[in-house]
Amino acid sequence: MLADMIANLGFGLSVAITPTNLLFLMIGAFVGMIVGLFPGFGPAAGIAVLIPMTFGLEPTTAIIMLAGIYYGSMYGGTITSILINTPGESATVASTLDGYPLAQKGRAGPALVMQAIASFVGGTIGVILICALAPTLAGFAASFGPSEYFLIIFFGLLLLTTMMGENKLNGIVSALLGFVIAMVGVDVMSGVQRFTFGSSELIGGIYFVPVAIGLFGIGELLYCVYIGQHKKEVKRVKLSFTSSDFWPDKKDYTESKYTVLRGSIIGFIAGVLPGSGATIGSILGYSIEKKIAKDPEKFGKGEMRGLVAPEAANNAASSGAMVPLLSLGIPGSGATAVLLGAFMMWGLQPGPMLIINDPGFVWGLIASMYLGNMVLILLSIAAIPLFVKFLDIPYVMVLPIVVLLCVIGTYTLHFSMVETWMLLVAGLLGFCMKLYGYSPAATVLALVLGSMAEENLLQSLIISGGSPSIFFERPISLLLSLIVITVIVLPVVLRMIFGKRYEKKAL
Amino acid sequence: MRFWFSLGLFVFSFAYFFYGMNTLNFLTPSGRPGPGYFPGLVGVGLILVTGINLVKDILVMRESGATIFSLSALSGTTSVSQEVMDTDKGDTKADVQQNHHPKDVMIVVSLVAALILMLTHLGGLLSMVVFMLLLLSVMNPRMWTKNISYSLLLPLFLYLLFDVWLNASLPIGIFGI
Repeated sequence: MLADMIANLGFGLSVAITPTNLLFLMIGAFVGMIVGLFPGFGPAAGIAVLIPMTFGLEPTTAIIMLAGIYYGSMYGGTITSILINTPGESATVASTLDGYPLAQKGRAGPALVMQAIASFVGGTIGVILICALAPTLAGFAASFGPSEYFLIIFFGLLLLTTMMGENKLNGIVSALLGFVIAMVGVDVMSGVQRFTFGSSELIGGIYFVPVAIGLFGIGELLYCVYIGQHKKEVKRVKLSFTSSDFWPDKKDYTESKYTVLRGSIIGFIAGVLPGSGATIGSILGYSIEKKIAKDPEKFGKGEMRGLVAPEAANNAASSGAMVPLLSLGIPGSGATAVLLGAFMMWGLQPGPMLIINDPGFVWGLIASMYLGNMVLILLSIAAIPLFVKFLDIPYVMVLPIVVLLCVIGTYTLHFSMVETWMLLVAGLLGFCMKLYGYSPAATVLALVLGSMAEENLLQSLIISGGSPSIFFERPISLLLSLIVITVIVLPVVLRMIFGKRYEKKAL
Repeated sequence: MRFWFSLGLFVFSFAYFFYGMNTLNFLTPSGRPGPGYFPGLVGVGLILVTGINLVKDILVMRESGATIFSLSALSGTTSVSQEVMDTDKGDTKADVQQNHHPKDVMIVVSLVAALILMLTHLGGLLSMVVFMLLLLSVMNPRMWTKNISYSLLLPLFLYLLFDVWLNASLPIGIFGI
């Protein structure tokens, strides 16, 4: 197995190491760090907005660049968490808990360096685990039928909505709205037009990119304006790059060596689970580290382990989320859903056969993630002064860049004004969803997976002559159905038994 | 606003379901799932969940003594998590509400709509310049030199990026650019 892993990684490196791929990998990583820096502009928006710019590239090069934005944003998001106590990305929320207190104690330099190292270790462990897991899972999934696929998609969406805590119902509405948008156009099974209202523009369906750019890009931007991000003065912690205090001391390394390993493993597992992702991974990494620490009272007051654990976890989780994406063709988060859409746009058919039909692409992408982490640790440490300078740009100056990239990027997709108006409508919807606790990520995930879910459900029912027993007959379907039922029924049963006490605990 | 958003979603769910069931067959003549099968299931799910959400919102409003036309129902209510984050920073709930900028949101939305409208009339480059000048004059007033130079340089950069480098032609307007 180890020999296979090394051979596959070697093959991937031979694909990834070309001057063009390396150049776009670096551009992706750099842009990803900048995307991570600005609050309200996460990796999903960054990838969606930059998709139109990759049209002139080879598919592998384009995806390598987009993936660079994805994991690069995890590095960038922490810089704002540490220096201005504002997470640039939801996955770096846990990093503010100890990152900012560290900066207030005059240890911003060591915190920034340690977060870069933890991110690198987490990301690299994640990539190694992808090499081990993705082919095994793809081989296992090759025997899956439509019923198993439908249940996996259902399970992924269910987990995503379950993770929303008190807003579970809003999560379900968000996912169903994604299905509603996905249903527009010609039905592939019957050839009948659905919800097109006689418009020729809608026959081909609603393209996911304008919707994703609208929900994540314009929606987040409007929300940032609503909460007054454009009126806030940036007050960051000052740090000196030349003083010897900039570097971590021996104690930082020795105290964190096992923390980084634990964080990476926890994060990776959270990432692999559909619907979980880097945000949950980083929060889990932090909480578990605090729970097992002999001195938990130090956490939240500037403890290096409290920064290292979520950082290793969110980067490992972003790698982990690539496992279901590459081996099953099922994304687990908004950002990976946008990546999946990009795969499809480039004519790649995601699923277990992708690794067999297009090994150059899959292993090239995985190897590029390995290289990307090396580029990012160098960028994170060597270019800290540059990225810190970016924080001094007022949000009001960032606002027009985002709007213009979103509008012009959407227009240039198909030179369609209808799609450009759809962007604005999706933006307004995204703003309201964010404002009232709905999940734009669930909407995009359901939009991208909508036709796949419908096709697999209908195929299952046709095979079984309309009987739902098909979801319980095969061992894997039975197992998945039981898990799904448990996820739905368990909270209800617990609430009935323990009443309000359970609700309070769950919150 | 939360109530109105929930109500809008509920009405939309009903319209979606009934339009779907009127235009699409739930089952084919041979009894297999038809083109309306999946939209039908999604529609029923939406009606149920948005209905529950609507009832919950009405109950919350009743508890707080608000009516659907009262200020608390009409003003924006941010998500609980955001309020918790803001109040954690030491702000009171009233401060948090005061720090919201619904007017600025409306300005940005109007300007984005204007930009989209202008694209085909004024062309890509000119529309971007006009949009930026308008946006920055409202959001960043009195910084004229900075605003004008930024409004010229950024659109020019984007024009070169999309139109020249990526070969994705931007719309040409009445002035031929």
